[in-house]
This record gives sequence, structure tokens and C-alpha cells, in this order.
Amino acid sequence: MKPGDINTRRDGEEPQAPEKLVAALEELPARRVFVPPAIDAAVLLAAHRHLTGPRRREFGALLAWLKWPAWAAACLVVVGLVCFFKKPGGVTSTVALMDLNHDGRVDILDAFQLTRELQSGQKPPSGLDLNSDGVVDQRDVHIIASQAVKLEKGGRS
Amino acid sequence: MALTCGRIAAQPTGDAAGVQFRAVDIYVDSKQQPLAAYQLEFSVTNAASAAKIVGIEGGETPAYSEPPFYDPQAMQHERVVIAAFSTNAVSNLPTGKTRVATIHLQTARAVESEFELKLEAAADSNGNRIPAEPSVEERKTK
Amino acid sequence: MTANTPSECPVESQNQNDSRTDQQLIAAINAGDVAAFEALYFRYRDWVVKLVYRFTGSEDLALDVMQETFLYFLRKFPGFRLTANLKTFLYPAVRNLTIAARRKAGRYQSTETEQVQLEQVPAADEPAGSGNDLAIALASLSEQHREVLLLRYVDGLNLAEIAEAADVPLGTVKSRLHNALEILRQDKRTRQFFEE
Repeated sequence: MKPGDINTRRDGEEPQAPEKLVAALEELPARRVFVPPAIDAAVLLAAHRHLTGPRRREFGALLAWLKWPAWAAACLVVVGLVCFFKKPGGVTSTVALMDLNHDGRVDILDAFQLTRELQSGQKPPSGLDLNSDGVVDQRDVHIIASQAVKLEKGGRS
Repeated sequence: MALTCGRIAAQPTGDAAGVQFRAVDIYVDSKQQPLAAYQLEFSVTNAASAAKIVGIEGGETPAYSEPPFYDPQAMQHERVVIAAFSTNAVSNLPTGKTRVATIHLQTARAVESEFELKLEAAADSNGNRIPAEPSVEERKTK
Repeated sequence: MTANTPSECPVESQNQNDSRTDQQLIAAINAGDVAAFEALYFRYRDWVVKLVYRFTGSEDLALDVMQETFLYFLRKFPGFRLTANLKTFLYPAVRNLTIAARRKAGRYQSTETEQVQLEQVPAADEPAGSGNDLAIALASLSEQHREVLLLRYVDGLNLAEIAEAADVPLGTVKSRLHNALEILRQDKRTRQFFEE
């Protein structure tokens, strides 16, 4: 092959670049971006948490020997059991219960409403005993407030 | 739902690897109406600033001096929903522009942070929704 | 509720000169070896940062996307299987996370000019004021041509690995590489590299 030629057999061998070009590409001054140690530390801390958490290790070991057909069967069984034992309505109905002002969402105004009802002496619905301690009180208000501010994606944008 | 977008200018530091802490005051302006409850979402929207939420404290008036409700999962992330209410008598509820909370941010780099503030609810002492405007100001360090 | 700051300490840095192969490190990470992840992290960290910088020209985005890339990689464990060069696995992740980060970074750009700038093909590494003809010629290539050239001769991936990383047929990679070389051969700034 003469210098300057480029292998044109695209369906065969790889196009070859001249050695001078390859050398120049390899020597291209690349801007070095400084990585603050704090960033390294953050990543490695995340790794430490993820890899050494006890539940994850057990889960990982379980994953390691379970083959996917067994996995699929196990998932079906779990789903079936959940459906069989799940209370009618389940989570959805509890959240709906918390929507005291019936505006279609659970927010701080629902917690506020329950507090006002409790302070005024009104008897709130027993279904609002959210922590199942036998009474509807400020602890249940806190549960509603916690639901109101709950983040779906764990705080990530 | 009121929406506020803005930037905080982070002061440049001499050390590119340095960590900085900034305090951002959250205000709700309910105009003439007493503010009995609020809920808003605060988020840092530009990944480049690497700003993370590291603390939340209450506001300036007795009605909101305690830290608001928030999801602890927001710590070390970029988004949080805060909310609080007060059952104080109407005469003891704030009106006008009120600092309801302060959010502390940790930034790893000296770049502007961009954020979004969404007011999800504001109400009077009867629980009726009222119009209000959220705003945010960076607290000046001494 | 009381606000509080996290109190955990960062993991101490281990020896970064781990002699294990990538496959050995992957196996160790699957078994929960944090030091193995650290070794792999430091082995590929600068390459990922450089790659994002190549895409965006932004140091801040490079650092952000690098973190997200390794967190994404971390979530693959346990159970990750390395079937090729690790760069082949990381490249599409880096690319996709870069696109997402650039979109988010441009969310509050208020002027049309800024939007246009964000959508422009990013330049390759180009030292400011150095007059490096090759770098300038590379910057004038399309992103696809430039990428295949740099992946092949700077990052050291073979054509099959580039095809897998970029999710295009091998023939397309060969064609792009051929065209990139041909453009550089025609370019008076880089013709010298093709002459005897």
C-alpha cells in the first residue's frame, strides 16, 4: 500500500490510517480535567454503601444462583400471593382516605384539616387511624404530612 | 401553582476542590391574607453546580419557626418538598412576605446554581386556598 | 422533623495500581469487593471525564456525567457480566447521560443564541491558541466521523467494539472511518500526514 492510500475495501479490511496520523492523534494534547477528591469520595462512598449493605449482599447471592426461569416462576408466585392476600383497595384506598378535602391529592392541607378537626373536637373517621394505634391523633396527622412531602424519585430531579 | 426560577451566584473560591455551604431563604408572600399553611417544592435544576441539600430549618415567625415537614430522602439530593401549617390564632399568623424556611446547600464547585420553586399550596386558617407568591434569596454570609 | 447533615466519612483511598484484569475486578465487585470497584473507577475515571469533555467542552458537565456514569455502573452489581471491553459498555452510557445532562443544563438558557450553541456539534479537544492544525481539522469533521476516529486511535477500541458501543453496524463504522480519513487526506491542514 502506498503512503497516503486509504484502504477502500470497506467490506473487508479495516481502513488504515498512516502511521504519522496515528502518532499525531495519540499525541493530541488533551485537556486534563481536574477531578476534585470530594467527587471521588462521593462515588466511592456510594460504592461502599451499595456493595456492602447486608440485604444487597444476600440479594446478590440469591441472584447469583437463581436462574431466570426459576426467577420468573418465583415472581409469578409472589404476585399471586400478594393479590390473594391484599386487602380490597389496599394502598390506593389509604391514600384516598388521606385526601380529606377531596381535592384529588394528598398535601399539607389534608394534614391541616385533620388537625383542625381534632382541635375542634370533631370525631374524625376511624379509617384515619393510619398507624393503627386505636386513636386518630397528631401521629396520624404526621403520617398524612409525610405522605404529602414524599418524593417519588428519592430527591433526584 | 406559582413557579419561580432563579439563580444563586456562588462566590468563586481559590480551591477548585473546595466545598461550600450556602443558605437559601424561602419566602411566601400571601399579601394581605394570613398564611396558615403552605407546601412548596424546591429543586436545583442545573447538574453543573453539584448543589445538594444538606439541611432545612424553620422560618422567622413563631408560626413557622420549627423546621417544616420534608422527606429525609431529599438530603444529599437536589429536590425537596417542604410543607408546614400553623393552628395559631389568625392574629398570630404572618401576612405579606414571610420567610417560612431556609434550605442549606452544599456546592462542590464555584458555579451558579439554578433552581426552581413551585408553590403547591397556600391556605388561610380555614384551610381555604389563597393566592401567594414564593421567592428565594440567598442568605449573605458575614 | 429536624434537619441534619450526613455524618458518614468517605471511603479511604486504596492502592490505585491494582494489577487485576477488568474481568477479575468485575468478579470481585460482584462478590462485594469495594476495593475492586475503586480500582476500576480510577482505571476508567479519566477516560470517562475526557470523553464527556470531548462531547461537551464543559468541565462541570464532564464531572457530573462521570459521577452519574459510575453510579449507573455501580447499580449493575451484583450480577454484572463483562462480555467485551469495558469501554464498550461505558461509552453508550456516557453518551446518553451526556445528552440528558446537556438538556438539563440548557433548561434555563434564556436566549435563542444559547440554545443554538447547545445544539451545535461540540468541538474535539482543542488547546486554546495552540494553532494545532490536526485539532482544528478534527473539529471541522462531523461528530460521527470525529468520534469513530478518536475511539479507534485515541481510545484504542477496535472496530467491532466501536460498533457495539455506538450501536451501529460494523460496516457503518468502517464507512465512517474511511470517510473521516479521506476528509483529513483532502484537508490541506492534515494532508501532510498522508504524504511520504
